[in-house]
Amino acid sequence: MELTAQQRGDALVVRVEEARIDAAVAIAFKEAMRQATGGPQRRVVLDLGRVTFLDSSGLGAVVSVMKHLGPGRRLELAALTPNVAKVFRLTRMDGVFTIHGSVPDAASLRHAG
Amino acid sequence: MRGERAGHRPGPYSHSPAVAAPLVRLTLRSDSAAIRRALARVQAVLAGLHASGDSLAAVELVLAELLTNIQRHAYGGRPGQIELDLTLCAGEAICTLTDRGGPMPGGQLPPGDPAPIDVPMEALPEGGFGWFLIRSHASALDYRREGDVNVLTVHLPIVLSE
Repeated sequence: MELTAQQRGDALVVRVEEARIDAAVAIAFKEAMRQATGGPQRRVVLDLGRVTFLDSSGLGAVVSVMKHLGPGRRLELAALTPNVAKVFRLTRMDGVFTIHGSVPDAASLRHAG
Repeated sequence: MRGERAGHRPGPYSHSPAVAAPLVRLTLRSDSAAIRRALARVQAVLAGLHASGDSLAAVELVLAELLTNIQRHAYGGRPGQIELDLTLCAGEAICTLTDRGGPMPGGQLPPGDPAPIDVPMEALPEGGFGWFLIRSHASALDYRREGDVNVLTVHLPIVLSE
């Protein structure tokens, strides 16, 4: 599972470089995210701009990643494509995560949260 | 199941002539890679008919959930075969999935209640979304056990652009 992690402001921005988070890759996604978020950043922004398909396994994996970060750390989502946003909306998970329309710039990720 | 089907059963729309010839008919192994390929094939065929983006997304999501469910639960991760048969009729995609895995618990489809999310973060569900998503999109769902075969039929609205 290909991810790109980049420090931006005070947050870690992790970009998913693949088009699908589905049952085939849900476990690999969770493992890759755990490695990518092993640092101290309290705020992690998951950039889903390239993801065009997310199924219930993928949704479960995103929830799992958030829980694994533990208390005091936050997982936020950014740049959801329409089909992915719809899965979050239908399951009401859009109320659980902070969701940004696009990846916030460094200035807005500094000293916030 | 019983080899080739002899003719078509009448569809749920008595006013429609006959169920159209299958658009897609394929047999796949119940593994993740084969499921991805089958989904891509269905998407390509429906895109070729100018199905709307929302229709394509709904079909892909629902078939992904159903096929993964067969792989994980009916076959329990063991090797198996799944037959997929897709037709279009009266503004719906009608997809029948057939497998020789274990039956649905209780012989019935799961209710697909929404997963509870009004809970502390550490108690949030990491699963249980699949049947809810399926039922959110499907206009009809039918499951029956025929001998040692599961036959599941799902109807999904399809909008074709001119």
